[in-house]
Amino acid sequence: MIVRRDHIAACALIVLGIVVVVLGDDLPFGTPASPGPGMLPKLVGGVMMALAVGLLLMSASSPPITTLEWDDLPHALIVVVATAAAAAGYTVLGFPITIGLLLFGLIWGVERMPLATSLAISVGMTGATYLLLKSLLKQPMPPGILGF
Amino acid sequence: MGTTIDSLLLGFSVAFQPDVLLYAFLGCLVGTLVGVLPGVGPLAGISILLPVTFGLDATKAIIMLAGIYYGSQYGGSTTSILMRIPGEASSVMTCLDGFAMARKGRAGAALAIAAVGSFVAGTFGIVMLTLLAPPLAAFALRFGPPEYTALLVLGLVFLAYMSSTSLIKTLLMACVGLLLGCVGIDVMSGQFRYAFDLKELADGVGIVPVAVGLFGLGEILSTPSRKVQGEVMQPKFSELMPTREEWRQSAMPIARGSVLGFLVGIVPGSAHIISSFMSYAIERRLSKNPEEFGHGAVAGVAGPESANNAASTGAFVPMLSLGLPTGPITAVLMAALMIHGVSPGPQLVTEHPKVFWGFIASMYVGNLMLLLLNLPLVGLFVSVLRIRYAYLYPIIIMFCIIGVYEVNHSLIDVWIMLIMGVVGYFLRKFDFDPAPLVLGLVIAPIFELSLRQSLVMSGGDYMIFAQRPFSAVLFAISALLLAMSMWSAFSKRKDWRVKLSEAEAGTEAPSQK
Repeated sequence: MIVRRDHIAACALIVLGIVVVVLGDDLPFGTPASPGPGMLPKLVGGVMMALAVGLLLMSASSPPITTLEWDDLPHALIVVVATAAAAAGYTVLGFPITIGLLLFGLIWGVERMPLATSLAISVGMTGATYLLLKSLLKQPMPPGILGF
Repeated sequence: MGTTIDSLLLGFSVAFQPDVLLYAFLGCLVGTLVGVLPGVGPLAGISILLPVTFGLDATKAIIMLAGIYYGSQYGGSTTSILMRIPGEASSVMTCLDGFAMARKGRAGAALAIAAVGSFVAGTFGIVMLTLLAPPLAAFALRFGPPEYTALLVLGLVFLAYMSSTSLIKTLLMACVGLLLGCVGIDVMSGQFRYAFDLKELADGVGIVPVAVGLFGLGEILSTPSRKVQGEVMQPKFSELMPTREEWRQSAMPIARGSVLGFLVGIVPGSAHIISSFMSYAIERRLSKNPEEFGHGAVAGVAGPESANNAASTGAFVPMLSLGLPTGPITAVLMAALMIHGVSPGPQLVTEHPKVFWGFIASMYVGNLMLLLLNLPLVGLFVSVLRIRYAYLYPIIIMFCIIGVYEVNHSLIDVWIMLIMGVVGYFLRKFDFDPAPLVLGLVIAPIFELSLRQSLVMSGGDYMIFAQRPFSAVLFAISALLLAMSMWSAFSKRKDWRVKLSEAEAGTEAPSQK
């Protein structure tokens, strides 16, 4: 049997539907005259599983999973890790350090752009954005270890 | 009619205030840049800049954000014509003949025709919005919970019908969105749902982190910098004037594109994309020289560019008058209004006339600004296009993080954005359109409330939806559309949706947009 893209997608959505129904076990469905908080999630979860089964049955025209190209995956993984690191450090290190490191890391570390340009863009963009948001737009920014 | 003119004058008195003009200009400028830059769509642009509007009142905020939306429709044509990369998804069709015109040395004329067509269509759309939205809102004041339930179901079914991906996939994405919309405190019972003891999730999953994740970060994850490249043509200012023959060839396509785009725009779905495809198909069919299409036909630029601008204006009709988002962009704009304490819908005209009419009047001004902005500044936008993607995408990630964090000052939102970015990456891999997910998330609270209120009203009798005439008609239309979609799915014939997805796939490769 050829495993197709829609097979994988449909199975993932069926699992999601089951998770929704199981996690919502403590939510009362209620009655038609007095619907409870569990009514919509369980109904939608059920409809989603039914549709996913439909997708599974109609997946013959879907391309095989082996035809999926993953050449963009390494870049995507790096961006995810860099963004996760920035999210983790955002309120701890503060805006200037976290964002400055994120920009420099991606521009110089990942994209291999010239060092001076990378540094200038990282520091310049971080500083300009900080000033714009903090001073002009009066948006509170996470201060972090530097205290600003 | 007199009342409309009086109200419009009130709107202009708001729109011509210097600070309102400034925010309209900023919106149009940023929108044009968002449209020009591959990898940044209007949805990501609006979502990222949403926190910037928190310090503004509702009128200025919505005027600026809407300016980004319709400005991006103008800007999208620039990259299509000069680089054959659609800066915005609705400019896909413009690539075909716009770039061919550029290769023949008519880049300036193509840009001018696209700008003038956009202006005419945008203005036509606003006139129609001015005339249609208030009476529609007055009519919708009679709606009760059953009618709203039926209207929201119709919106989702219409979205599924109009989608270029499969019906089942669109409905599945809408289901995921509805489920995400169930997270948080249940408004009728006060019970927590799927919040995993995180107090930040009490108010539910925010629209901004989901939209920015799916459309901003997700786009970046799917676009390695080495894939974004291409030569940019630089037209001279003196070459911007089309010839008399080019004007003649573009006049009727602009008129047809304006009407068609507005009508398609009112309907839920990715109207601005679909309208440009339909306009291209119509112009090709009506042309005496269909063989010129794809090789620099003026009508192939004028029609689609007019249609996508009229559609973006048409999408405001159901949003402002019914409180019904027709797509993810209007959904985020609705969320922006709600953040400022203004609920879009039938009461908007009567309860917030300055917001409603100020917004409409600002669109007349904004369209004129865009015309004046786009042609003389084409050189500047071309310079922006020369910025390497390797410098650009880290800056976009920075704005994604700031934009999402500043909405609630919550790191949970940043993590949700990151998760949604990964989800968006895989959705693209598996040919799912993320737009219905955002729409499902936005309408989930309204849908659940109106459905449960309808059932309580009727004592649990589902026949209430058939007994109320308007709701019965809306449900009948939904059933008909579902039947038509299923018929198309089972028949071997290629319908317009298949052709649309083929056309998008054929021209989108360079930017993955």
